[in-house]
Amino acid sequence: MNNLITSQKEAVFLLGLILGFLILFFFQPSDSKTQKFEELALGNENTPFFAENNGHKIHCQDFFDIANCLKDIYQIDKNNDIYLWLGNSQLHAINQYKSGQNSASLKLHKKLIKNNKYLITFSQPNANLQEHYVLFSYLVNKFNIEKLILPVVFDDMREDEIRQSLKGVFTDKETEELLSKSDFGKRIINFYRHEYSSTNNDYVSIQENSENFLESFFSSNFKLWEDRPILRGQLFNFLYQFRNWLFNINPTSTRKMILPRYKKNFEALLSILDLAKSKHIEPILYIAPIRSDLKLPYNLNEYNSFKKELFSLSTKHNFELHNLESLIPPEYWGTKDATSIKKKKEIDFMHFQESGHKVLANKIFKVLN
Amino acid sequence: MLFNSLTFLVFLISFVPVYWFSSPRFRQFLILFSSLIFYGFWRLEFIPLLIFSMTLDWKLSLMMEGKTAKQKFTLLLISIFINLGLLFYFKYLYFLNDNLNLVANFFGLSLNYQLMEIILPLGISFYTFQTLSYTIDVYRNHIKPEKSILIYGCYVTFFPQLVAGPILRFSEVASQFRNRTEFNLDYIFSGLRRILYGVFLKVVLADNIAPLVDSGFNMDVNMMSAVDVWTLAFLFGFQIYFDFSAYSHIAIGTAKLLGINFPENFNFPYVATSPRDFWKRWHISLSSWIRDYLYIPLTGKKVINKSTGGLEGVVKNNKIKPLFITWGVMGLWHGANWTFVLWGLYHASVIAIYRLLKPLSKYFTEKFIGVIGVLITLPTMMLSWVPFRAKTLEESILMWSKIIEPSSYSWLGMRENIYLVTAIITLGFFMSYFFKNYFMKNSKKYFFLLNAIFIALVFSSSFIFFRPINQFIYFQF
Repeated sequence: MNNLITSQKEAVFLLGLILGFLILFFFQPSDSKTQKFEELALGNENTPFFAENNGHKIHCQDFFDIANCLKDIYQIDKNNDIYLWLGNSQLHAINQYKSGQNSASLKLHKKLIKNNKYLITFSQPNANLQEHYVLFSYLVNKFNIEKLILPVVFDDMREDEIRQSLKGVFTDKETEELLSKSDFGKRIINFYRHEYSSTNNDYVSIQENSENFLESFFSSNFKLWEDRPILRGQLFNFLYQFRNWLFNINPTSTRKMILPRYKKNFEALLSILDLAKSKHIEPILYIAPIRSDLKLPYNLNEYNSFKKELFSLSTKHNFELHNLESLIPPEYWGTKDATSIKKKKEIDFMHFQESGHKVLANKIFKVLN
Repeated sequence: MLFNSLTFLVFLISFVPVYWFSSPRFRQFLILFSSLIFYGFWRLEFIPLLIFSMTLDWKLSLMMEGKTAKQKFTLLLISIFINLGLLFYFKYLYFLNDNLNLVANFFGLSLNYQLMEIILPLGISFYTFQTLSYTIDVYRNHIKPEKSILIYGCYVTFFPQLVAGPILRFSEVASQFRNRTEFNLDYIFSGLRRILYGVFLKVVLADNIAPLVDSGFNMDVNMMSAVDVWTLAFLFGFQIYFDFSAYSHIAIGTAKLLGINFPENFNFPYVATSPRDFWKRWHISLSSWIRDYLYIPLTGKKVINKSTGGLEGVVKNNKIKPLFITWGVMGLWHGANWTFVLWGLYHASVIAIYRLLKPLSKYFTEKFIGVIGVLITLPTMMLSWVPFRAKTLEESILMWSKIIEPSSYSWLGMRENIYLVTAIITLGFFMSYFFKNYFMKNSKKYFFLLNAIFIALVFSSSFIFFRPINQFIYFQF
């Protein structure tokens, strides 16, 4: 009897492993197109577009591709003034993209270059002001910035922390020094120090070496192993959609302000302004466009007080602030894939079509001149 | 070597077959040698320290044989002095230095010296306690000193438990190293099952909760609401439970692959009905170590029973001072920081209150006491994790103060997902407890299918999350 129970347990274990492999093979993607988890929320109807102009990269995303933008910027005419545009996915996602279309960053770049102004853009999905501050601190040390164009997005005031793909900036000594000059920057550095200080450490354990070797061996020899990041993304995306379905969360659901994050991002904004001032960079801020013909997905009291706070800040700190919330006409917006299971399409409040990018580029061009 | 790494997987695949084909004596040599390799994957330069600590206690214990009580006591003191001295140097010197500086500054003095960089050897708190328990057991005549350094070496360095326990007693494993165990397929399957379960707890649960906990504890405490404090306490409570119990599962499973049985280290701690019950379910090997080698001696009692340490006699002897000292030490064992001392003293206070209230239980039914016990013990234990995770004493006290401030319950300071995840995990924990202890026992009909589905889900999710992104929390202790 004991033998039977044991062998049954063993059979169950083996069956479980086989089932587990079947699940993995079933969900394994047929092509290895990697899409970041944050970008899954963009859906198929929004296309990420990180522009190049005449072979020069002019729109970058994070620390992984920053070198491309910097390499090109060092080759441009020294007489050019450089403008920096930071933002979220609104800058790099084109709704209902068709071949040959461009984003606002490329359109504006082309307009400006005629006046000997060189525009470089960095944007990340759901980018918060803390991330803009860290990236800005890195970039001010790399080239001379004349103007900083910064959208302030109410939605992104709910975001917090620095994403993994930007943490590389902390390894730069000059950035660390610059951040250390502000109280807010010091707090950021202290929080992330343990993550990046190890990369400065010369000691590499045998474990690290063997792990790197085995990881690359497994990835290059086993497709399923290589696809694990995609499977992770799919799982998180499913959980995200499942949550939205369960709690009936949709684009019009009200997103409440998260006070501590809001305040932290406001602190980051103040630090950006201080840094810009100390480096003689002119900041130009705008309240980001949003689809405003429909009920806004915000608590209106909170949204209005956010705008009020920004305007009073602009008076106090003497910088340009433009309210572009209604800039893009309703017909230039679009839909996106549902972020909930069982639904097909949803209204997209954040990303517009190419015609919207054109309107935004024209408006910013006017503002700059 | 990290358990949640490909390196360990390859190490295990190479080691296990060789082990089973070896003779008993070669197995002992193999365990010792492989364990040193396992340790060296972290840092080679700390292997001599491990060997020194191991050899010292082995030799001192051997020297105790046939000696007078006084001579034995002297040898014991030497062992304690050297072991704790090493632990003090590596773990607590900075702490002492910082506090001396603080006191000096308070009196307007300045101590102008800088300590050189000290790297804390991995697992030192664990193997120091393990070697000490051996010497003390020999001193108490509970065990005979081991003649073979190979067997003693296996006991101290055995890789599944070397870095983060369970803290073993010599009597629990010595005979298992000494005698040849015949190969049985069940060892492999039950070992693999435990390892898989441990990997799941670590890479799927603990590592995915970690960023939420980190982001929560990074918040400005003044901006936290009372609900945030509760949520973070629960979330970290589950993170550390998944993380540490994962390590124990993998350790137990790995030992099982070699036909060696380890005692259990966790038993659903959050269903505990009292603080005392909690500590019989959480890090059991450390709790019993502290009880047998610190608490009981502090109460002035002699250890009556070799295996249990004679706990019964102590409870009658309800002494508060030993309780607080023991818990202070327990806190410091976890880390050289006043936050850990606060954590220990919190537990001492909770146990003291429990002892005061215990006599009232006779007025209620057992079932009622059980339900009320869980409802009180769970949040009380969860709150204890606040100083364990917070960066400073001030931060811990501020967080605690939030929960007694009614106005702090009026807003939420974190993303909605964090509350949702915490609620799901809490619910999931209790569901898995009932599922394992009631449903599975009573539904043999579905046993086969449910188990296979469970293993399939655990395996597939562990496969996609398997990566050594975070080391185990207890490595820092």
